[in-house]
Amino acid sequence: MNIKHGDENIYISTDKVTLVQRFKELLSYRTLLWTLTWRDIRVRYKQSILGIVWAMFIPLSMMLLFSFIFTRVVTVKVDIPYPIFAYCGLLPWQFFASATTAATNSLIANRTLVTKIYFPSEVFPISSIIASFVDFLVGSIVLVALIGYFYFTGASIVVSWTVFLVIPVILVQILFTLGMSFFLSMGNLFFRDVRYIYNIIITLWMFATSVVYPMKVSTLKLQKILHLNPMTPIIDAYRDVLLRGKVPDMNNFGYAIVISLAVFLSGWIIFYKIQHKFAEKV
Amino acid sequence: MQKKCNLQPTIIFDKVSKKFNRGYASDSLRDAVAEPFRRLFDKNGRAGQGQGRSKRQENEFWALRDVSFEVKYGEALGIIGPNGSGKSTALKLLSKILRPDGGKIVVRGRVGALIELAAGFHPDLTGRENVFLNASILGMSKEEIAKRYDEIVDFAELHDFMDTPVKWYSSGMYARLGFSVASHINPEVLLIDEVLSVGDFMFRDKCINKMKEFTESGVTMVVVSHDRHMIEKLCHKGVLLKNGQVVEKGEITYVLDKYYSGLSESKYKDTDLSSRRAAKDDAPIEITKVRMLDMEGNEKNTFLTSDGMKIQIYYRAKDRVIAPCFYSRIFSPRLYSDKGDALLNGTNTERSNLTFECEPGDEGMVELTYKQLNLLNGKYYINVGITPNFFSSNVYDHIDKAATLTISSNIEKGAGVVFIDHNWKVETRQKSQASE
Repeated sequence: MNIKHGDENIYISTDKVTLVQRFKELLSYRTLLWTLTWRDIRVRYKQSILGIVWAMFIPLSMMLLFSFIFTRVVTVKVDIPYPIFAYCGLLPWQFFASATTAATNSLIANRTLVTKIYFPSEVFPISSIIASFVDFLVGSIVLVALIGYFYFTGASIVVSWTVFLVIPVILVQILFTLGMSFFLSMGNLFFRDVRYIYNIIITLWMFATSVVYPMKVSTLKLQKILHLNPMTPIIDAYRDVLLRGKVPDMNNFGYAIVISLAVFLSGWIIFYKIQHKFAEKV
Repeated sequence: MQKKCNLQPTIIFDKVSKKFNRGYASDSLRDAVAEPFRRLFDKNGRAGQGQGRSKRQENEFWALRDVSFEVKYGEALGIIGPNGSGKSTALKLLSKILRPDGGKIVVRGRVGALIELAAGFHPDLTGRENVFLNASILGMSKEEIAKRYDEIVDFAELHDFMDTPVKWYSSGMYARLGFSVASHINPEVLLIDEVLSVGDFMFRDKCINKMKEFTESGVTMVVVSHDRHMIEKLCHKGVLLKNGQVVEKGEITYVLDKYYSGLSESKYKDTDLSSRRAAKDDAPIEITKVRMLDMEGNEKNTFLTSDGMKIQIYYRAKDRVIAPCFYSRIFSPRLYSDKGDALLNGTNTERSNLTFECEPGDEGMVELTYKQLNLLNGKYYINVGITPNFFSSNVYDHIDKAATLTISSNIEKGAGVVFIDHNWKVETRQKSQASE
């Protein structure tokens, strides 16, 4: 809200703040953003022996579990080897789930700061997301290894130039995650129930997304509803660009882009417009 | 650029109002969902009566109402007033944490806040990591922090502890590091809220000196504190708030005098206790009158250090009360502890093994005698009340500032708040001729 009028740093309580001004302000707090992220990562792994290895171990163990269920207990037909199919879904899903869950509680967890000192509060949900993104990057080492293994053993995966398209796919996912996190962290500030409800929702949501099985397995009627879920085209896009050598289906992925942008922008604008209410609520 | 600031006020508070919802916080969805229904049923139940005011509206109160003041470039303003008068709200509005519901605030320059110094500390991180964290919360960049890091550690005098997690720090060390970080942010406008209530007094003096340096170098300051000496030392101008409104403003000495003389005038009225009492309608026993007397039994509110004093608490029982515990506490508004004004002496009937029983309708009086007050020059006040027993956090009745007394003392009694019986002696050694 500090707007530069000429050389001066001046705050006028009745002035409206534009998105660009807010972005500049946020940028001036980037040191805080990195410090908070670093704090989150340090504190999270400080007292565990395996430390950052957990970031690989969690999606890996889930992959093994689902591989057992969906190849031994019930069979799910997929066009690529199931372990890498599952890992390629679980890794980005884990990023989304852990980032949004951590962000939901981020404002409440830092309530002493939110009520005492002014700075753009977005730094809290954003730093939760960056911390989860670090886990995601560590976990991708396993993904690269798996791709290498299946590629050289001649399994039915195609690795081509499209792997570079993973960057825009990640960006779209981050936009959606940011938007969701803004809404969830605000919601949890006003109603503490949000956190518990979201814990249930995120579990259900995983099975409504093509994380461990393709969406084709569900009935046609259900598919129409499940189509509204932007996470499915995002997860599918990861598999398309990394494992199938395909450009994502722009019908579905385009929808995910639009939804992500809309959620991000509306979430952010509402967030900074009502930030001054936070201190009254926590 | 700074010269330009001289012309315009650095801070403008123009008819600023802020309202809060007291008590009613819909923290759970259950309440939020239930609220509209409750309102609906209320309407149906009492149709025709004055309806339409929701629970939310009833609980609204104005923390500040039409508050206006200005602070010029390089000036230091002290905001004073009793607890709950809106001082901290004013500071939070200035620091942008809250936004006014009416009026306009203008602040020119980079704002730094010495509010809750250790709020940004994380117990598991080391002193060094916390310096970086806290400084970045206050808006410093990495380069700025790195440049001033040594200065910060020097000022806090914690060289040997920078690699220790702050959870092992004492509260004094915590406060020192917090102040040190906050005071090195190079603000143009500095907001200070009750920061020096912790930490040892050597460091406290160092902090006050540091803040004096700030004003001398042209930093504009707004200070909220109960510490009269600190305000007097730092501020040029003052604003006295009461119930969210400006009562006095002007030179700091004038405003402070108004505040402290107002305290003694308004508080010594033993007839109207209703405004200061805590008793609920269903309390089984209540205080009806409080009197302050000298040893001869004359009502009085000025005493000498060597004088004795009697406090009489009149009560009326509405119900049967087994062994009510009456208390009396003497406070000094000049001294401030982290719990508010400093408690000089608290005593109660249970400590003195005085127990009695009250039947419904009983009226009576409990008298407390201080044989010698032993207080020095200044103003003091007394809170009295009744609790079920010594250890109960429950209160039957409590009267804030039931009596205010002024003490005058001769210089030989000493300086400070309490008189401690003493005498001096000299022993001269012949050779060195030194005397202590």
